[in-house]
Amino acid sequence: MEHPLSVSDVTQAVKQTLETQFPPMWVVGELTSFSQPSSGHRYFTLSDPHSQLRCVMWRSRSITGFRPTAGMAVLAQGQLTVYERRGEYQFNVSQLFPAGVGQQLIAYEKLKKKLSEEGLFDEDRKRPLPEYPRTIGVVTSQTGAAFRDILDVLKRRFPSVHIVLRPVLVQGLDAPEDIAQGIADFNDFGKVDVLIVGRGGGSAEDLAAFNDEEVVRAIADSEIPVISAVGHEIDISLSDIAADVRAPTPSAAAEIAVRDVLEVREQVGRLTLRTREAMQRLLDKSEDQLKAYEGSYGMRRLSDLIFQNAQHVDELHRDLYALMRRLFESRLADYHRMTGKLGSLSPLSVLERGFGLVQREDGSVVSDAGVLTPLEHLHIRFAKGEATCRVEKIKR
Amino acid sequence: MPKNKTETPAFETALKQLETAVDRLEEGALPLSEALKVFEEGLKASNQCRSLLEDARQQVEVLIHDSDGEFELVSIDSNGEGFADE
Repeated sequence: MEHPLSVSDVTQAVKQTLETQFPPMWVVGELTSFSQPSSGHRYFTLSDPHSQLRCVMWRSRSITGFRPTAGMAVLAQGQLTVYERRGEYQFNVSQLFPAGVGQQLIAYEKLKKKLSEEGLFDEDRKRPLPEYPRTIGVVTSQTGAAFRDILDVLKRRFPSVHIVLRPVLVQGLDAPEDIAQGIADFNDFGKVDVLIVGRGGGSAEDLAAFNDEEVVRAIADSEIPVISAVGHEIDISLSDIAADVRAPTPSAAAEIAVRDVLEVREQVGRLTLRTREAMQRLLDKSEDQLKAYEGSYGMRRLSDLIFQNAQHVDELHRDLYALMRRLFESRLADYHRMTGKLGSLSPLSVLERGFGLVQREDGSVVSDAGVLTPLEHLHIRFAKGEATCRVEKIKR
Repeated sequence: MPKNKTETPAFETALKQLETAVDRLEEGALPLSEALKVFEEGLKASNQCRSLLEDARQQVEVLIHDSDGEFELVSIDSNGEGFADE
C-alpha cells in the first residue's frame, strides 16, 4: 500500500489539475439562487435541466447594464477553481451578461480573434494618409448627423477639398452589405484619395454593422486608406481596429483627413518669403563681388594694361605685342596669386554668375553710363565668349 | 478631380516645387542665371499653391452605382438641399 495522502494533498492536486487544464471559458445557463451578502461578493448557481455549476463573482468585478435575478438566462465568463475548505469546485466569474448581449459579445470576441489571427489588424498593414487629399470619399448615411458634421469641418478647414458621398444604410440588417459595397464601390471608382467610413453615436445595436465581418473585411481590403469614425469616443468597433486611422467621431475624422487651410497658407507664405530672401541674398552677394572686383587694384591695373596694350599695338611689332601679351597674362596670374582669392574674386567667377564685363573700344571698363556716347561699340565679355554691342540709349 | 488614384494631388506637387526652390536658393551656390530661373519657378509654385488654397467653394457629390455597373457623380448642395430623404 502506498503512502496515504492527506486530504489537503488531494485537494491541492485536484485544484492544480483543474485550474491548469481548464482555460478561462464562457458558460451559458439559467441563473438560480442568486445571493449577495453584505461582503458584496455574489454567490449563485448556473443551471440547465441536467446539471448545476456553483459560481462566485467577487465584489471587485462589476455587473453593468442589468440586475441579475433568478430565472434569467445569462452568460458568464470565468475560470474553474477549487474551494479548498469544502473540497468543491466552482466557477469564478469575471463577467456576467444577459444571454442575448453576451452572445453578441462572444461573437464580437470570436470574430476579433479570427480576424486578428488572419493579420487584418496588423500595424504594418496601416497605410499613411495623404497629407493633401484632393477628393474625400464618405461612406455613411446621407441624412445622418455624421455627414453634416463632416461637411462642416471640411468646409472650415479645407473648403476646396472635393467630397463624394456614397450614401449607405448604417443600421439594420442590410447595413453591413450596403456599407461593404459602398467601400468596394469607391475602390472600383478609384478617384478618391481617402475614405471616411462611419456614423454618429448610438446604442450597441445601432453600431453593430461596424462590427460585421463583411464591413471589417471591406475596410481592410480597401486600397484607398480608410479613416473610421464610428459613434462616440468610447465606442471601439472592429471597423476602427481594421481602419488605417481611427477617429473617435465623424467630426474628428474630417479633422484628421485635412490640414487646416490657414496653417497651410501660412506655410506657403513662409516658404515664399524664404524664396525671396534667398534670392535677394544671392543678388546682394553678386553685387558685392562685382563692386570688390571693380574697385580692386588688380582691376585698375588690368584696365591700365589693356589700355596701354591698345596703344602699343599701333606702334610695336607683332612680336612685341606677343611679349606684352605674355606680360599681361603673367601680371594677371600675379594678381591672382597676390589676392589668393581666385575663387571668389576672380572676374571669371563673377562672370560665371551671369555678370558681363563691359569694355569700350579703348579697352576701358565701363562702370558709369555717363562716359558713353550713342552708337559707340562696346565689348561684353561673358563667362563663355564675347559680344560686340552698340549703345542705343543712355540713361544717367 | 484626380484622373486616377495614383496621381499626386496638384497642391502637393506645387508645394514640393516651392520647397525645392527654397532649398536650392538657400544653398547659395547657384549661378545667377540659374538662381533666377529657380526663383521664378518658386514664385510660380507659390502662386499655384495660393490659388488652390483660395478656392472656397465646397463641392459635394453623391456617387451612384447604376444598374449597368457604371458610376455617376451627382452634385448636391452642401448647404442642405438634396439632403432630404428620397
